[in-house]
Amino acid sequence: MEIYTTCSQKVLSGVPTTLSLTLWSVVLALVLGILLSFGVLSRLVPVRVFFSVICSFLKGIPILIFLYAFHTAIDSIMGGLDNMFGFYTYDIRKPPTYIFAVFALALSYAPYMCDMITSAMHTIPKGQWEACDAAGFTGWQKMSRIIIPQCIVIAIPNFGNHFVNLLKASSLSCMVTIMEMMGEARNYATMSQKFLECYIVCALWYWFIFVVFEQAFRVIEKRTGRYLQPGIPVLKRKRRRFHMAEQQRGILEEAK
Amino acid sequence: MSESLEIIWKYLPALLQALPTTLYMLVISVVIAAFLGFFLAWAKIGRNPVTKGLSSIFISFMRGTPMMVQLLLIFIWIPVICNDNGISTSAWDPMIYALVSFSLNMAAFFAEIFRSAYIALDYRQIEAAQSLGMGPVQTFRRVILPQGAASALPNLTNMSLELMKNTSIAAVIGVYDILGKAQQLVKNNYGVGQMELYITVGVIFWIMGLVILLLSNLVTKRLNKGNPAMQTGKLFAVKD
Repeated sequence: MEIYTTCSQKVLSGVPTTLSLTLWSVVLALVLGILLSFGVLSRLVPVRVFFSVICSFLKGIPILIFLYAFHTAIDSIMGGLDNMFGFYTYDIRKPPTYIFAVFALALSYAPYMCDMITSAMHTIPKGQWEACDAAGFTGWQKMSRIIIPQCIVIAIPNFGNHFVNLLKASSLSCMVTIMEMMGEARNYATMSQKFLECYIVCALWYWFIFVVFEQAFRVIEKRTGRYLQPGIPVLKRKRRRFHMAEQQRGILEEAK
Repeated sequence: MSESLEIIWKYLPALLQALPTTLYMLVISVVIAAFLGFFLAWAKIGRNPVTKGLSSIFISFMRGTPMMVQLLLIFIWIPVICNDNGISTSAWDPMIYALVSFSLNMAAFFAEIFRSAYIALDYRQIEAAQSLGMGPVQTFRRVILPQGAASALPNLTNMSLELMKNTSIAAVIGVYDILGKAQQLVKNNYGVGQMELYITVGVIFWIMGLVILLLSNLVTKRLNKGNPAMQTGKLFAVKD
């Protein structure tokens, strides 16, 4: 029993790394996905084809290749930057593996984010775009007031899925010497020679975190998606009931 | 540039030699997973609370833990169980553990896909089939399967492509597919030409994925022949 508690402590010490790795790479993947979706939704055919091919290529590559390739490219990239700007502070003995793992995970999940955004865009009926144009909205107003608020609601279930997948995929970064949950578990397993117990504990903690995030996203989905379901009444919706009446009264008084 | 091409040309045969390993793992695990996933989905749709709960827990566990943990767990656990029961596992190929792990993992995802395909089916059709006097097997074969297959196949392909990418994790337990082979070559050469090898492996994976996607889209098109709403001309498109 003692081995389980010590192993649990070891695994839990890797939780902050796992979570921060996941969070940063999700944010970066979202940014990259938005940039890619600009290309994929472009009106110019060559641009669209080019970005679609890039998306397909990034999607077809295992995450491990990204991790290995970025890990091997650290020295040349960092050394090059160091020489270019003349800092001469890069220490080759302490490579910034964490940042490069974040970039690798983000790059491998960017096409999925791009797909999520484009499919959310396509669900919005064409009539709304035309109505915005008819009402004289500018491009920015159209996106920020009509399209994006609806897109976010539609994309949240998909986003939750990708977030959880990325949480699981972050366990691969132990292959490039980052000590997150899986890395700690492997390390302690080889140290204490209790492989089975360590991996069971690790799996259970991963499962627990997965369930927590899954339920959290389910709650968020329900909360944001209630306007999508017509039968459910919206609680305490603020209505400006007297808005029109006051305006009408003002007009009447002016007329008098 | 010419040096890079030389390196790629020199090591391409060695990489392609490892290609059957990936395809073998992919095909065998997908077949086993489809078989297991069918029964898991059956248990989850059905009314028996015990099997329903068990399959739900199994699916949640397999979806909730990383593939690497499952792989290592099975790699450690199966020999322990077998040796306790007097079966020697020392001569077993590590491929067996990879196959077991991948097929169990995929079975959970496939069960979810089958279940969603079943739910998407109009329930009145099943009732109509029952009222016509079809038995459960006949209902499944003539009503559920043709429509369910058409709606489940794109998702199955997506999951299979995920598995194809994830087979490279099996290098952890000593099953070397293309990426594992590339890693070995890199270690042998003390890191000369590693970037080129990784990019080559990536392109091989990409082409394999495109071929699988093309085949699946052709089959989906054939299955949707009677359903004009689902027809598309894009053969390399990933469907949601």
